[in-house]
Amino acid sequence: MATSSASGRRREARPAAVDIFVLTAFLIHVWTILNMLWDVPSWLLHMSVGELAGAVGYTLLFALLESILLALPLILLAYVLPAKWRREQALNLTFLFLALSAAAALVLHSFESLWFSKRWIGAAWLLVLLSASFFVIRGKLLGDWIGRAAARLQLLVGIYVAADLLGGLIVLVRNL
Amino acid sequence: MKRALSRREFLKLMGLFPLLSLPGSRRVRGRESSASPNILFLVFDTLSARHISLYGYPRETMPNLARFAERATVFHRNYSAGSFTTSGTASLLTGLLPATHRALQAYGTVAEEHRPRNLFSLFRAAGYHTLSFSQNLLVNILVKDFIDAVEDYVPADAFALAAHEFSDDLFFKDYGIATQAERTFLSPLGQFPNSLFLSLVSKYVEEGGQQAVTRKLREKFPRGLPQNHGLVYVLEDLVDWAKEALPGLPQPYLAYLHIMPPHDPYNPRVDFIGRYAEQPDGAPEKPVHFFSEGRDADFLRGKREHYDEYIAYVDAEFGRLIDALEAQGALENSWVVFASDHGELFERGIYRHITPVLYEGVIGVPLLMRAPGQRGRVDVVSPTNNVDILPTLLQHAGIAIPSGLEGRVLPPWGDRQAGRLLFAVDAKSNPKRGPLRVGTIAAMQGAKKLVHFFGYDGYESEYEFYDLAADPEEMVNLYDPSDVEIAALQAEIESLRQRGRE
Repeated sequence: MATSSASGRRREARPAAVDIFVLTAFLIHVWTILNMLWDVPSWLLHMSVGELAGAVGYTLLFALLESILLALPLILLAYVLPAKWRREQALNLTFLFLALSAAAALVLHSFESLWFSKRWIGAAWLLVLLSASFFVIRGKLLGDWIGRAAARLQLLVGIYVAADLLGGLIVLVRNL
Repeated sequence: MKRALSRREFLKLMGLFPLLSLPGSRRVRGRESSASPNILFLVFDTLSARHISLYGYPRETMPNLARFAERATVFHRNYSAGSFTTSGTASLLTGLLPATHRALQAYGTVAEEHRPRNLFSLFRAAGYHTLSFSQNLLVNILVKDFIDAVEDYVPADAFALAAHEFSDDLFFKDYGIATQAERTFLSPLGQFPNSLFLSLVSKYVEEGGQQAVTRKLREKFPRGLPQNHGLVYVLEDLVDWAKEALPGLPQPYLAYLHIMPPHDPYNPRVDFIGRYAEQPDGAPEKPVHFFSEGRDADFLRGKREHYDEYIAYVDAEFGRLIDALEAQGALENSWVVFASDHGELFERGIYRHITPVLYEGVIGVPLLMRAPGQRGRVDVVSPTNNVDILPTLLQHAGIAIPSGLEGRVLPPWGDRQAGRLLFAVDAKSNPKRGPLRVGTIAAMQGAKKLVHFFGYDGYESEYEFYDLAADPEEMVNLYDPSDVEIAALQAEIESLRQRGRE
């Protein structure tokens, strides 16, 4: 199909690493920014404009660090996969990994008492991940829509990263 | 994240280089003798006067403090100016009320215009060597704004067995904001962290580090180790350091030591556990307050017992420190101040001190001062406030007291000032400028105490009035809006609320 070929050609020009980073950074930044917005009203109470910029700057810088720390091993794993899997399947598996991990993280954040059962939750996560990965790879369940989504998210994640770097600059200035 | 030096290596260095090896220590002068007295300012976090045997508590929680008191001035009705660490400690360090210094929230800082004049800057300007150590990160956030006047800044994790905080190392200059961002990213209280995944990894690593240390010391600390803000420690290490380091400081010195216990978790050494199981605490049952957290009487009674055990542990280490310093003659030319930033509550359905109420348990704090060579005990029963400590210490040191401080020189060195009005403030949800819109203010005058709750959802304006002479447990609310005396106190509270309008 023309659209599928066109999008496939566009994705071939864009390394899998970029798409993996985009998906990872998008998820992490959405969470960070949404939760940071809850903090801003109380920060406004006692921080000056410069201090508020600093608090936001640190938070975005930490989010960038978290994105890189999580994306890097996923990217490395993707390059371990056979080349023919690298684009579509690597991206689909990344999406699966991020979705399941986010779900597990959300459960642990929402129900503090479950932290004591973290090993069971981790085991369940691994089991579901492995099972679902098998079906994703064999059954090609997710198609190429993840890749198309990553393409559309590139601009937004680019804005996030630019904001992160600005935050880093603010942090640097405040610590000079 | 662990420090590069292990704790054992650090303590060995301590023995060889008493001052040079202080982590984060920034300048060292040679030791000098001086006619000006040293000031050893000990602040024990969350210590309520109501739980100290010296102040009439039926359990003998602090026999060493009682021994210290035999050669000290004991203030029997001393109040903190704030109900938790940031506001209470800022008042200690600036001599200003929370409505003025505006360090009102956790992670809050003193308003910029009031920062230049603080405990450290005033003593440093007079030629004192200044040292600051706090195990409470909220205090270090305040101190970092005064850091130019602190010659020896000892970081919070200096004596930690496990530490999980990186802002002090990476972002020293911007510690206050960096720490707040770090904690809200990784481990905020009562809300989702700003980090989706790293927060869980951090929690796992932190717990692992703490559990490893706790396991090693399980026999000595069966309930777990003292810990706060990601730091795990034992009080003994701090005392061991202080015994050696303080006598070696250049003189005259001002040493401010803010010690975390007996702040919760109440994890004393094994020999203090169960100490009060058979001793009643004597606390009457009190009516549930409209700001009750729903804690039942059994829960509060159990926590109170653990708190008392922890205080006894603190007392033992305090006694060990003072005895060691005295044996070395290190206190001959030193004022020793024993204080607390705020108290703790176990009544009316309320537990601990993060509460809008300002009952005596949470704002009644100990204060003792021992002069160099003092041989007898002096008792002061008139009400006093922690804002009075700074001007009093300045007078002891022969340093001019700047105008604008809201505290006064404590009796017997200053006027007794019968009928003096004192305040305590809790106003966590207010901006740095402008009138206070929501909070609690307590005004104490003689034996009378008026408390005003204002701006809370459902409690826009509530008053409580107590006669502490007839009703020290604050059981009977005598508020009467037609009473002239009460109306005068209301006007004073309103005036304080409006402070900072400009």
